[in-house]
Amino acid sequence: MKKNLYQCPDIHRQVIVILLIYMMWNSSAPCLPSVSSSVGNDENQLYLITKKISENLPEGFKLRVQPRFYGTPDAKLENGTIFDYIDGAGENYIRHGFTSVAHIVLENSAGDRITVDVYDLSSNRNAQDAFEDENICAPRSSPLDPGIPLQAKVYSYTPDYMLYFVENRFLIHINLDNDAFKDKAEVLSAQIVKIINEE
Amino acid sequence: MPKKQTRREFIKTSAKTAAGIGIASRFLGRGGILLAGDVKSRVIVARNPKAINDRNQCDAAETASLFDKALFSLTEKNTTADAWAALGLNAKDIVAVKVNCNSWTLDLSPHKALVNALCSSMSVVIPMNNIIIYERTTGDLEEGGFKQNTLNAGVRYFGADEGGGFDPKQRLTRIITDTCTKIVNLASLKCVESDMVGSIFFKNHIGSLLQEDMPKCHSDQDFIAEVSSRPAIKNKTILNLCDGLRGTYERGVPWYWGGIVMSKDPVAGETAAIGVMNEKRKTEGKNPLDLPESLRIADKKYKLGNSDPKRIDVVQLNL
Repeated sequence: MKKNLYQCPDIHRQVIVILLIYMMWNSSAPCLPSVSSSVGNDENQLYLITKKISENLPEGFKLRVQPRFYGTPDAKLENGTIFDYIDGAGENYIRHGFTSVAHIVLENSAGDRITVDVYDLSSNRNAQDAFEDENICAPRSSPLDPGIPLQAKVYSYTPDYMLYFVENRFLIHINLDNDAFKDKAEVLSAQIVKIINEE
Repeated sequence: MPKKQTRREFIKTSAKTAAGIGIASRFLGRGGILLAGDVKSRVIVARNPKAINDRNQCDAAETASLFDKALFSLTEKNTTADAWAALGLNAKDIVAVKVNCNSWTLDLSPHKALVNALCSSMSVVIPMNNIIIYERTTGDLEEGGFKQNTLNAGVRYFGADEGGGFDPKQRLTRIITDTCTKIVNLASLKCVESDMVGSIFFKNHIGSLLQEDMPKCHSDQDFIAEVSSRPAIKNKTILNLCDGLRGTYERGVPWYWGGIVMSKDPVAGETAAIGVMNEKRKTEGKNPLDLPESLRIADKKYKLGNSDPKRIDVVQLNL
């Protein structure tokens, strides 16, 4: 008679589970985690936004690694807490109602990178306050490019190019290590605004 | 029952001990963790503007030259082999190099050219495979641009998450408690402008800790200092090297300083690195950074080195 996983002896079941985990862990293609039923609605929304961002990447760029998700010390996500990502500076975000962040790294064939961080700060008011907080968005931002159709703070530190903007309850940070691709950041920011509003 | 010492024997023993301290001070040199009295710590602050351009691209040869000259100056030796011997490296050693691959807002991961210069220099004494470049996780290391290598050839690269677990007593990765025999602390010149001031040598070891202990580094200045007093770190660290090819002098703003800070003494090295930031801040009209409390604690309580500038011998090298 054919046995299913639940009918196997404990030891076999454990081996199968470990093998499955190992296979998932070693999967070379970056993939998004499935939306877990154990996470709250807000986290689900962040996962869905991240999934859509990952499906609409700028031309020539692909996910470098699987997106990472960080929560608070009280509500950790897959990759831990915000302190696992940004150390002590995480306090600056906690002060503004931080619940979670998605960290997405894109790369082209030449190794140029675009990093996208989507911070969920619980409310639009919190996100706006974080945007005005000089511990998060440094005071000396550069003039906005006419190509950016939103209220953003731009930092041009050759060859790095960074921009911050708020949409809904999210603070979004896009960072390029090669400013030759700053048009990609502009397209991506418009895309993210659209995705957030669709969710 | 212990034999009672006569006055003559006591004087004889004391004289030998005093002579021993004198010789030890001389051979330990200026710098290093074992400091005695008024011995100054030697810190090399070396710059080579040709080592990096303003697009964060390094010139490998110029970076190697910068590293080598700083190493010779620190050890006051003329050959690579003699310099490493003076730092205590021997042919059987396994060296763990702690790097800081922090990519938040601005990538200040160590430059590959500097890591390669360090490894190439050490390979005069030890095989490349005896060098382990590690970070908190392999993922962090890869995000910093270093591909995982756990093979038996070439420099090894992996994270503490794949380092065989953690020592239960020291609560540090087994990479440094068990696997390695020597440590090089390779930090980045990073200004964070909070109570911590900078994220340099002491903060770098957050990635050597058990995950549940990492948050203590965010607010506990004593804890940050205490971590480096644990035997594995205190007794095995032979060199502290700060990558300032591109660093920050205020939070989040990159600066192509084109230099490195090198010392055996982590406290003096970090004090000098903050001094480098303050020189730049002065030219930019910004208030100087105070030394973080953790450095004073590392000096006074844990005796890990000198934080008093009067006890630091800074040697400036301009290539």
